[in-house]
Amino acid sequence: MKLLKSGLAAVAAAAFLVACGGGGDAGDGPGFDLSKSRGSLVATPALLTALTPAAFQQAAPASLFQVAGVPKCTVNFNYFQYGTVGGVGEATTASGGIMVPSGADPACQGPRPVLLYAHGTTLDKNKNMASPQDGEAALIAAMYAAQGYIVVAPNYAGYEASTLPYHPYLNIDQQAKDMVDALTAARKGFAAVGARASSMLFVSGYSQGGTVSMATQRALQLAGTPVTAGAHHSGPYALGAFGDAVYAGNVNLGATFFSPLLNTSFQRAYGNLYTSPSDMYEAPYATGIETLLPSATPLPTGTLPATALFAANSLPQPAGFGLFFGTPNLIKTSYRNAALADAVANPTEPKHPLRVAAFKNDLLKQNWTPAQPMLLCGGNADPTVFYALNTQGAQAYFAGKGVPAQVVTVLDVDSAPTGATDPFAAVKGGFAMSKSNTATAGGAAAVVQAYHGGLVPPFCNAAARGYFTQFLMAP
Amino acid sequence: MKKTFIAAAATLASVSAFSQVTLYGLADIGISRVSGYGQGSITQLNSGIMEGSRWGVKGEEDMGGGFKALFTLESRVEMDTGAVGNRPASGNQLPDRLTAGLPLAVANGVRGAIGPTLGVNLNNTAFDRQAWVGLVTPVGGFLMGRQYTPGFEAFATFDAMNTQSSLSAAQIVTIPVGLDIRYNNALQYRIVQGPWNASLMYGFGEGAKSTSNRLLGINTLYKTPAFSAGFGYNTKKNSASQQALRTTVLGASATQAGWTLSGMLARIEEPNPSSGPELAAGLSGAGVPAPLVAAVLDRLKQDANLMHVGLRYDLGAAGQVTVAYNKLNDKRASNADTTSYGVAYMYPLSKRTNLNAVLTRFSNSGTAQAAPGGNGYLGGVTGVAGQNATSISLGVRHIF
Repeated sequence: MKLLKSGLAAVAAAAFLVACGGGGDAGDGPGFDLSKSRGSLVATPALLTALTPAAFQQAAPASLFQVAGVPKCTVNFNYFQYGTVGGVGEATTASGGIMVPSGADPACQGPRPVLLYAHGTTLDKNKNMASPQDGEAALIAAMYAAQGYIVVAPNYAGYEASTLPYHPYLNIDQQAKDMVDALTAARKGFAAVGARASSMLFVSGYSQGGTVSMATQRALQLAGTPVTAGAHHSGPYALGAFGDAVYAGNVNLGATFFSPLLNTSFQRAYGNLYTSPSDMYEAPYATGIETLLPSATPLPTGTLPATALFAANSLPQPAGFGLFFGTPNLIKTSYRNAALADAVANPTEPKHPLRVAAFKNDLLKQNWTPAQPMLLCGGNADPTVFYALNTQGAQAYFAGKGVPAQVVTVLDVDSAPTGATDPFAAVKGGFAMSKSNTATAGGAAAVVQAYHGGLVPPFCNAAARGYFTQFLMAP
Repeated sequence: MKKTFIAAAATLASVSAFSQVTLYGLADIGISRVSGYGQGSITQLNSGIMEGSRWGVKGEEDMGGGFKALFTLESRVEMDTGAVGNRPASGNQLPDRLTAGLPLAVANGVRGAIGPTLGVNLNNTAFDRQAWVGLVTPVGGFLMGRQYTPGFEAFATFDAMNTQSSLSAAQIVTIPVGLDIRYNNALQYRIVQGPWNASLMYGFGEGAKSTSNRLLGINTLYKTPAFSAGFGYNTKKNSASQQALRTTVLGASATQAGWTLSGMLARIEEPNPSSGPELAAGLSGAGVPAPLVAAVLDRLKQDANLMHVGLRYDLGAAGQVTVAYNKLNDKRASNADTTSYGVAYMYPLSKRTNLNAVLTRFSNSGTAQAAPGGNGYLGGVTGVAGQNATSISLGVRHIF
């Protein structure tokens, strides 16, 4: 019996050792942080695919590399999820991509600069910047990752695997937090995906992403962790003035799609745009519009009006904008009139909830100035995000606040080179050729259609990469 | 030669001293309330709380000279529904760690592939619990068919709850499965020598290759009324003949003055998921890129230690009370550690009928989200990773 007891004692002792072996194990397999806390990395990032320079060139059109240059690095496309917040601070998760360069070329070796990239408006809920099958992701990979940048590109809360049931579109507070949280989480996964980051951090984005990247530059500056430089492209920075212009009848191309995204975002954040969607939207569209976008499946034609934001008989109707007035239309005339009346009565101190929300998310009404350099790129004939109001508006706003000219560089890709020393001469020349080719193939209408989404992006991104180079070489 | 053998067999048959077939079974049913599910607490009528409800026929023919023929056909039966299988209260839900951080389409693919497979006997096998024929000889017994594995036999021996109820150590290693309980196409050799018995099993995989899905199991147990000790071991290959689930069990128990103290350690290793090749084929077929398929399979691997301590006191006519403490230490980065503990009380109404009350607390840390089930059914998963659960059950068990 004695022997038996000592045997049991040994069992108990071994059990005790096992019991004490609990707690956090740095073992094999993916690690997890399922807390949804801001900047948490949900799981070890997962590799989706790797593209060698040759494979990348094989998979993408040659025109991409004519602008981006021959790829130098193999790009590993990694997918990750991070904890962030929604429009009212509610905890959620979102996903994104981490593109990691590698290879023998010196551009791919050693600590690499990080680009935090904000994508443009998409109606596709399955948007995935981690996949080279996404055209925007492929463009950014070619422009940056294949040239030696580590790219962190969130899909934003409300997209892909995000658990948020809507997207806080152009909610600049949320979107900046979303970007910062994505970066924080991605950095936690850098070692696992073989990314070795230098101290250089750049932020860029296009269209919606242009505003998001500028808001991110501001947020990081306020947080005391400023970026090295930013490059913001074709963004609706002046959301208050832009919104007033649209409601005045200067409607932008795509407004019938942007409007529900924006209104739902503001309604979720502030709850006062309407009591019921039918207060704002015409009957054919009001039902279900708050959950319509982004959509996991392509919207059937007619789900939203193609262009008719306002009613055919709604006034005013500025010349040249007839396309945006028709039947059936999206926004009720009564709602438009209320916003218009407020714009007249209270041009700078809005009372109408839609205008209050737009002003609140207007980057040129935040009483701030950039401390780090930024490039503002766009095309002056942009029918989707008006250049004069937004890009030149930002330039004037910052100049008015005494920001030195060298801090804010403005580039209109749709302009003639200023001379032999114009650093953007090649970009302007390339844009002119691309625009001309589009016009030759499809006429002026094709240029209008392709301008914002197709013609400008590659050239602004190419300009931005060139712009960033000066900071890379600085000591 | 052949003739001689047949003649010998005929001789054996003619001297058969004893032969019988028995209908037997066990009906176990009660009410359970389990907290911690995604939908909150769930109260259910459950079959198989202490032991899986069943009926079967078994037969034995004593051929003399130390030779005996045996068979068992045992069917599962759910006393609450009359069905032969069951699903967990959490349905298709998987532990978050299997899908968290994966692209939406891939996560949905994994959910779709694995979720509907969670449960007991979902393909409605008629004799899911046991189906085998055996021949006992003077040099040991040879059993063939669907049988309990040697690893499970050792586990059940040194679990103070004998795998009964939510308090059993087995309940914290159900998703993913930490121990193969039964195996099909199994040939088992058993031998008993005084207090010693030992078993050796080979489970024919009957896959593409002879090593596909094959299981090897062995145990040796030393049992006396006062003391027992032993070990068990199962090792399995998956359909691609990769090393899959491997479970090693080491245990002992001692009984004195009505008190029985049991202790057990189990090592659970699954370097390649047991159903990995099938899952990989499904995901690849759905267009999931190879690195992601590998990332999914990586989440199904196991490397964990299980510890169990239990103490039972026999109150004689007043029944038995058992307390137990179980701890699963997930050694992988997923860190899905579950601790369960509680108390079970069995009160005999008669020799064949007893009442049972069990209270068990599941404490999940890290990414663990085990939910308490019963002997005959899975608890499934709690609402989210790290969510705890408490199970209280009251039931009656009748053995016939």
